Amino acid sequence: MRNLVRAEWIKFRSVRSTVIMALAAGVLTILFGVIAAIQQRDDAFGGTGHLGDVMPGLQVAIFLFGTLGVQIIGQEYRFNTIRPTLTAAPWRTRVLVAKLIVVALAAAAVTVVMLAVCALIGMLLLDPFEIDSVDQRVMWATVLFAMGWAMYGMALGAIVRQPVAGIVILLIQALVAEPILANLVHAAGPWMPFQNGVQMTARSGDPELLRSTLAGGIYFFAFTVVLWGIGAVLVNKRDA
Amino acid sequence: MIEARGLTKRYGSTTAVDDLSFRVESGRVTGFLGPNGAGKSTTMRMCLDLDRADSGGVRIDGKRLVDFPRPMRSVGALLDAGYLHPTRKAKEHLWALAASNGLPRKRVDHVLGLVGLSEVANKRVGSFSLGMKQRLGLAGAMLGDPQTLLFDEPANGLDPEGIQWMRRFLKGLADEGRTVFVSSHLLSEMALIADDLVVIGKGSLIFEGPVHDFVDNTARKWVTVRSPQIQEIGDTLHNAGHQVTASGPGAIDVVGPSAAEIGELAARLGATLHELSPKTASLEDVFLEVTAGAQEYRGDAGAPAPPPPPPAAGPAAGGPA
Repeated sequence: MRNLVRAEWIKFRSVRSTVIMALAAGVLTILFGVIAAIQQRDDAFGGTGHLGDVMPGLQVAIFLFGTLGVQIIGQEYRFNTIRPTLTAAPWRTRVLVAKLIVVALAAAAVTVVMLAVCALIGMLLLDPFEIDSVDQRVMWATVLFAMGWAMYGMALGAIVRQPVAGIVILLIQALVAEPILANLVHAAGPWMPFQNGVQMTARSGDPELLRSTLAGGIYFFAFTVVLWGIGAVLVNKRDA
Repeated sequence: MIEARGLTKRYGSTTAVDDLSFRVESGRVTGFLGPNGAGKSTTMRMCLDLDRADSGGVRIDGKRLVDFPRPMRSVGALLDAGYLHPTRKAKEHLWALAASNGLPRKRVDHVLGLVGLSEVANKRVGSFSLGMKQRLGLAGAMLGDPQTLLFDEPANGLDPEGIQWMRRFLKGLADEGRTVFVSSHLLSEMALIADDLVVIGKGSLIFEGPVHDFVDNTARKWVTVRSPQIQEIGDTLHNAGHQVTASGPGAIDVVGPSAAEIGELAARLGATLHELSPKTASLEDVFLEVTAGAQEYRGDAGAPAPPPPPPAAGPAAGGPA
């Protein structure tokens, strides 16, 4: 497995678009964090600043991690590099797990840096600014959500085998389908995977619409693991 | 050695490969021939377990590909030169493959040198010509120094010098005792490099065996005779029950008797001979004849036909399946 992870890491870092996307996730979040902090500093009624106040770019980063997940498998099919990959390493599930480890760790690493810099921005630009126990929970949840959404993207990529289609589905689901469904059918809210994932990173959830932060996170991960499993079964079953 | 048994692949109602069995021996170059759409590439992909067979299976040295702990050390393949990410550098492509099998990076430098791409190792493959991509694909196949190699149309995109190099390269691999399985539509290439042939049409086996058996047992043979007294010679041969056709002014093609027999007959008739040459159909002619009923796609009636050998009784399938 170590060899496969090394191979996937080389592939990940040797494609320009994936590196740019990972960096863009961090840079955009930090940039939005600076803008938000400056705005809140100038607001006379801003109150005590928390981590969430300097992370309005989190969702953009999360989408980019999802896109990375789609790309790590979708590009293999787009350029047919999946064939040399599986000729060299014919154990398909293990190859998928190696890809998952690489993309999830990359998302986690960027998120950790992103959180650290955003916390620093808050400390430097906001007064008062504090990181309380809820913020600490949010930090952990943010890292987990970044990894989970990358996994979700990878699952979609494995199912549709087209990077563009996978990214479009990912965005439409999160930005259009889930909000519309949750608004139209009130009871559908707790069953929307992306919204449950977002719930995990909120300081306080919306108990009427969604589950608690913990239950939302568990539901999101359960949904993601099942979707990834479907992707893995299809990759194993279908011709490469 | 590669051994395929009862390989079958269906796409909906179309059977691409139908109960196909064959063996590819070590130490020989085995050509894999078939018309377009015969199922060659599908078979190649099934050999590597990339396409899932509906039934049957392939064993390489008695094992499935997944059973090799480090497959690249045993099996190398070049299926298509285009299977590359365009923004990845040549050496990074090979590094990733090498890493997946725990191969050292110095193997990457070695194979890049082997295929003559050392100078462009740091270039992105999107800028490569088809010939360079083909060489990079070969380098990937050779990374693990494998015993068994599969190549799908390896001469594609190579210039004449590259094709000659490829010919020597494949022969050299077989001479080292490796199993070399090469699919190609270039019959002239196959005639030069292959020791054995596996010929398929519409997914089924048509012939399996040495190239010379394919040509000797299947090819039509005839004698071209040119003489000022061609009418007399032709009539005598026809009356003796041989097949005679006019092949030009003062010339006939005769199927049946040997050149020596025709020469003796001419001497008895007091005829002068300007030409007496035994002919054998080329590998290409034999291939076209043998696969005539097994072509999935063919040109319209107006397309130029291959030069026909003289008519004869139907081809005898030498060494048939």
